[in-house]
Amino acid sequence: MASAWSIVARREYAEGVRSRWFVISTVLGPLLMGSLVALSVVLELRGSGKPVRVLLVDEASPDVGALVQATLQESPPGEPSRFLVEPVAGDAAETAALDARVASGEVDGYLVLPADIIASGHASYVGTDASSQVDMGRMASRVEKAVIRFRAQTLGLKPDETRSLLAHVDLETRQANGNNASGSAAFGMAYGAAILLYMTILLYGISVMRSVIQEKTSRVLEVIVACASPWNLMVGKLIGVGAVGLTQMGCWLGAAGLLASFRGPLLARFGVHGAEHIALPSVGAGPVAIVALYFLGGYALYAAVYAAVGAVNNSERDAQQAQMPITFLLVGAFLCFPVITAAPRDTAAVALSLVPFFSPVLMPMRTFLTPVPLWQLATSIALLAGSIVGTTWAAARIYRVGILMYGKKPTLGELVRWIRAG
Amino acid sequence: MTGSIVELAGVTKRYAGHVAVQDLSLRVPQGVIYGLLGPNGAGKTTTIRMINDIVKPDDGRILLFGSTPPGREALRRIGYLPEERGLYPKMTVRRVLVFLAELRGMKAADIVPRVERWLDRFELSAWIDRKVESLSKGMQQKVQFVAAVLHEPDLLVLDEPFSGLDPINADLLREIVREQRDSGKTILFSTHLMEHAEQMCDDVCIIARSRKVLDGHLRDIKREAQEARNRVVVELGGARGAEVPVPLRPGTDTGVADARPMGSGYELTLSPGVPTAALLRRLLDAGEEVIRFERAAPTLHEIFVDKVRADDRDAAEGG
Repeated sequence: MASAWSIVARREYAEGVRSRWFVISTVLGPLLMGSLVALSVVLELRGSGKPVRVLLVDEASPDVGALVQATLQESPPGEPSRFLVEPVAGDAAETAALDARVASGEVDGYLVLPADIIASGHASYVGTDASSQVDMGRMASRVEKAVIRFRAQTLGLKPDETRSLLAHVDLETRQANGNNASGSAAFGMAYGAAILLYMTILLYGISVMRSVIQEKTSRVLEVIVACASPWNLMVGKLIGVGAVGLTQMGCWLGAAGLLASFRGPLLARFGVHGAEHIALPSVGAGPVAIVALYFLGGYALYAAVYAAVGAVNNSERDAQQAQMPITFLLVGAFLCFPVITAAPRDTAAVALSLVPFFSPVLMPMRTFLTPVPLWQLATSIALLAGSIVGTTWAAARIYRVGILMYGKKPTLGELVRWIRAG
Repeated sequence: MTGSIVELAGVTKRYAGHVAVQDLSLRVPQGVIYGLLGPNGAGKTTTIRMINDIVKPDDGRILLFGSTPPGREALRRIGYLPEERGLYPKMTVRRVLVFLAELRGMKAADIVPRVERWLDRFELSAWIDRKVESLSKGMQQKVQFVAAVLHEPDLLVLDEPFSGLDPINADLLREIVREQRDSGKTILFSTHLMEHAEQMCDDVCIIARSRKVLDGHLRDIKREAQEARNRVVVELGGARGAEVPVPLRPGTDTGVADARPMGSGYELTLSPGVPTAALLRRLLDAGEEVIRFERAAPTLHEIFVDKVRADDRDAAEGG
């Protein structure tokens, strides 16, 4: 006789992969991701949109104004300039007219060069695109470059000398963890992996909870618990739903692999050629194994708790409220993303990636950003494994009593009693 | 004891606020239809859950099939139709039945032919690959009954099996339950409707307020009650008013303890020890035309009510 948990797990798996929701999300997921990536690549390679139209208010001197205008309008040979600059006479104190022209949409903004710009190194810009980080970064560096040129002129340097002084230095960054990724590609993969883990752990944890609730509300549980112990039932459910999650991840990763290897012909359809020559970081078995391992760990940790939440609630609406504190833990991990990306080797990042309820998302993220010492990986996995044993044990005790209770919801004190009672 | 399929000895189950079952002992012999009777909340479902190992008794002992405690080993030999009925709404009838039979220890390959046979019996063959949620409530109930008998259990435990069934399906269910009994299986079913039990049961156990009121062979119980109550229904010829005729009136000479009109006749309770034959002889001697003279068998409902009242009286006196 097959053991009860395996029969339960098989049922969960078979029904899970058959469900409409699974089919839709498995197919739509990669399509959505693929089109997002394609869109960003297309925009990147084609260059986006119209140039920025800027009014230039020069309170310093005509020389400075001309130099700033020329520097802003510089562009690589054969490409249109990013900025279209129109010098305007006037006083920055009377901004009403300038504001009106911006508001009417005639221009995107105005740049004010104060009288003491050379000494103070301070200029200001007001515009509808002031939040566009790329353009503002570009504008800031161009204005800075113009001011430096002016200072060099005053020091008596010739234009040629200034040019060689300001010649661009290119710093190529490469991740030192052996996957040959550029710094920004590693950043992208770290974010991608973390979001994938965050989403799948949340989705499948909640899916376990809903499965428990449905068994309760449909009253099918009574006949099931007569055949299988609550422990077998819960473990079978966790394994079955987890296997559905792994299957979906496998589909997504496979689709991502296909998209990546056929990116040339695919992007050619959008009018972008030569995409097959873009170097993508190679993803070896190591990172895939780490993502899969932490998915399983994180899923096991959260899903057991979600199962217990499902067991003590009698409707999906009640459960939706009760699961908030647990979901907040995962959201907490999500909010820690910047801490990890900013300094993945700092104490804060190391500590966060060891905390059990955060580590399933944050540790894989770190491994993409920086080589993680083995002891840290081992510690995080040990802590995670310990927490899984603890929460599953407690969750099983709550589950066992909860699934047969249809009346009022238990209080926290009662839950503690259930856990202690054994 | 041999031939005992379910045996409870001094079983007690307490919940936080109350005692659900108190010191319950009963014995279900093999090959009978055994009725577990009592009003709602008497402890029937808790008893059935303990037999199915869903909850454990706090005190006492349960043995199944002579020697096995409830649990994994007994699992394959029990079929269970719970009172709270439900199936996975998104699964097809076939898959849900295969799943439940697998949990009862059957091999998948053996299950499907039986599923087809049983669904045919219940005229549900056309629904085998439909989702459970597309079935009517009555159909779902029949599917759930199929789930209980599919693995051919030696003991069939049915909690309020007739609730929610229309008369035709209730008849079908009764027929199948009797067939199961005739083929040597044992059926334990609970109901709060005494008429159902009277129609079907060989043996009964009546419980009320967590305690056993009485148990035994239904026929013995009824005979004893009949003797204890000593009641006859009499109908006499000729025009009669509302008054009870003289030979039927209560008194030491007539041996009648109580008399009241009932329909076109009268219901009499004889004093203890008075033979019914004495009354009949007196009526014939008095020249009465006797149209009907019947020893009224008390219904199970009356037996139950009497017994509970008597227990209450004892408890009041004892306390």
